[in-house]
Amino acid sequence: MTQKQQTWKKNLYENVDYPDNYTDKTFLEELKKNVHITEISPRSAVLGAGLVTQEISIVIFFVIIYVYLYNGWIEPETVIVQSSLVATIGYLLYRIVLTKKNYYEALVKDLRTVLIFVVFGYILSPVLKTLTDTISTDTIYATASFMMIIHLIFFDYGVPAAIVSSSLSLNAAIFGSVCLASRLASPFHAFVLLTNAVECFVLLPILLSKGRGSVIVLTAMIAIAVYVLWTVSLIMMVLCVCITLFVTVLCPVWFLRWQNCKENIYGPWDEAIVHDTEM
Amino acid sequence: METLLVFVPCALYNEEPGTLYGVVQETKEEYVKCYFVIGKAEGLNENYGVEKCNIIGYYCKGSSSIVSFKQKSDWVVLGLCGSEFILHVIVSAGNVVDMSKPCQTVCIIYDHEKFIQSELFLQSLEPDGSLYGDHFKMLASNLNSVSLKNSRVRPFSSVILKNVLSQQIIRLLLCIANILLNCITFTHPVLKYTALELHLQTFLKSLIWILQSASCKKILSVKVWNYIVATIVDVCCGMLLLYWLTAVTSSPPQLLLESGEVVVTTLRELLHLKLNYAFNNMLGQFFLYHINVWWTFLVVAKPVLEVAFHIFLCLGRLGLTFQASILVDLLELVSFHIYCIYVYAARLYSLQVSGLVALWRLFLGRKHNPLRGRVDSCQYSSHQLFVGTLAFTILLFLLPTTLMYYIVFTTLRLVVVGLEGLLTRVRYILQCLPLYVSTLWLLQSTIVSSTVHLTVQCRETQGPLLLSVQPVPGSWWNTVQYCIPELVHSPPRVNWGNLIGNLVSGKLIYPS
Repeated sequence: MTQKQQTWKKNLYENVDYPDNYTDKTFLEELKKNVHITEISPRSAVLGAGLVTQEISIVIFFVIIYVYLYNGWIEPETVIVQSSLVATIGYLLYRIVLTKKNYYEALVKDLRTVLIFVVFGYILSPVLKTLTDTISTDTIYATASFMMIIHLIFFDYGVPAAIVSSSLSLNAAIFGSVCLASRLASPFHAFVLLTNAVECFVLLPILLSKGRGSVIVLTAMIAIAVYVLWTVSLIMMVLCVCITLFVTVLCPVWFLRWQNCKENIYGPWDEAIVHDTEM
Repeated sequence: METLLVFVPCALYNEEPGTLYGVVQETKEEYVKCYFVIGKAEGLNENYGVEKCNIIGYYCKGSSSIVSFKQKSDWVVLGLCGSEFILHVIVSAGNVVDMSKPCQTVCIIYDHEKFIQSELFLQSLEPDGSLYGDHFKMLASNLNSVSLKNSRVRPFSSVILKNVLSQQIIRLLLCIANILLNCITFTHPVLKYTALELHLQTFLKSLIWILQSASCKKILSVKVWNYIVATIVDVCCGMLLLYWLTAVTSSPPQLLLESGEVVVTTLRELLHLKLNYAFNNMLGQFFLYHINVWWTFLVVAKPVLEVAFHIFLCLGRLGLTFQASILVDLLELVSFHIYCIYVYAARLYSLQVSGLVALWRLFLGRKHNPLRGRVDSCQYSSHQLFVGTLAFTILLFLLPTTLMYYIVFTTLRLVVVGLEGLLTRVRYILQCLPLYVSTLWLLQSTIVSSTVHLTVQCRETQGPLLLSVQPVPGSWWNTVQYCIPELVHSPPRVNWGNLIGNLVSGKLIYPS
């Protein structure tokens, strides 16, 4: 039995008397907890949750347009004129104010895109109108709801995550809107709804991605969504308010409160991360 | 240790002592040496017309006399004691073998007549013709290759066939058959789609085969007799069926038209199902137009059908197989319109399905990569996504309508193809009907024996093992398989997995 006379040192060339798998009692002194903790302020938590609420309110807008068109409370001509105006204003805002670049080349490309949307929508709307004649209305509504939920799940909120698939979310939204459009009264109604779907799900997210950190935009969207739902149905409005409160207020509160329970441990046993150095 | 097998013909019971001739064969891998004793030699150095067939032993009846055999490398001395053979001495590779070791020497007694009579024995050869491992087949081949003067084979047919007059008649028939075959082969590129022409070709070729075996070999083997019997049965059945047909129906074309009318009215009623109205309407008009065209075609072609029916009556006398092939041709002619409509429906369906599959991939944000042969994710632009989703929705909701039409016409097509396949297989079975062979097998005649039966003669603890062998018929199925004529091709097997895959993806189905 060898006498352990020398104290154990943390290197490779001393410690001759110690066995190879010896663990010193100073081992755990190198343990660190929660090194990379980032302090999240309530405002940023609410704004982050507000991204989801924004998208929910966009979906609500779109469905309200459908409900108005279906019940005949608004004429399709009015809808298309108003939505085209809003779209043009939004486009100019985006191109001129927010992205301060030369916009002449982009204008041609954007016009081409608009032309494609309008032409295809107009040509295919008679076909789309009669597509689901033999399918019951309940199935249509269930399919549309399911598709909108898929749209919300896979939407690109600006956070890098593996589940994000912007193509799938857009396709699901368009599919749901085609299902709804086939229930309307005439091909022109279907065309109007389709155009609105494109504006809501393709164009609006591009514009809103520029206003990500703004509380004003968030509150404006929530307010408009609640107001239009109130004109349609009281129960739905209450439900919407509850969901909004849940997503925007309750979830961030929980998130912030449970940050205290976080316990990540770091130590010398972690994998080494090699950083590139500037030479 | 080498095992020695000595094959002794039982005809030696009644022979006088003398030298024996035969063949010695050795298989090095199994360390087995076979001494095939074929018979008693008349002289010492005769040429038996076969290589390696020479004097291999001596037969002494009673006592073991000593004949000098010092120069021989392989030598057998046999004797008779009472009613059983005794193996006195065996010399292998120059050494006298010690026969006291049990089961090293085996003496097998065979009946030489029966081995010659069996025609199927040599047919169960390995594909490359080697006789490795089967000593009885080696024996049979050696017996057959040595020409024997006192062989008694089926005297009746050989007497008739050896007659000069019958030979001349056979030659004349052979010439006629060859001329006919050349005519048919000349028209082959044009007529090869009709089943009748193919059948006629096979029939003539088989006829030539029979006549050739009659003229060249001068005996008719079991296969030939089997085919002749099958053809006779075929012709009798054909005559019976014709008689029944003419008694029952007055005009088959009328019958055909009536059944066609039933089909058309059923098709018209199918269009009232709950499908997408506009698309359904369009497709319905299209297909109805085609059905009306077919109806007109049938009415116009009625005299042609009458002529075809008369041909049926004439050629049908040649047998049930001819009738089956004429029926197949008629069926193809009449169902031509079904084939056309089926092709339209199948193409539409396959287009729709492949479009749907590609657009589904777009729906998920993926794309087929032909370079790598796999499905990758892809960043589409938004107008591509928009148009793609619209197209996907349209194709998806129109699928039930297309599917309905596709199912209906594919079922009709499958029925027709199934009928044709059934008739082809009936024809094949009729051509290979093993009546003659089965009768011989039931009577356990030695002509159809394909395997052997060994019994132990006497069992001594010392000395060689004595066995006796009889050729016996094998299983019925094996016997039948040996007698299937080579010129008749069996119809190809139906690949069910492939068929179902083609049905689901909309590829065309062809009759096999």
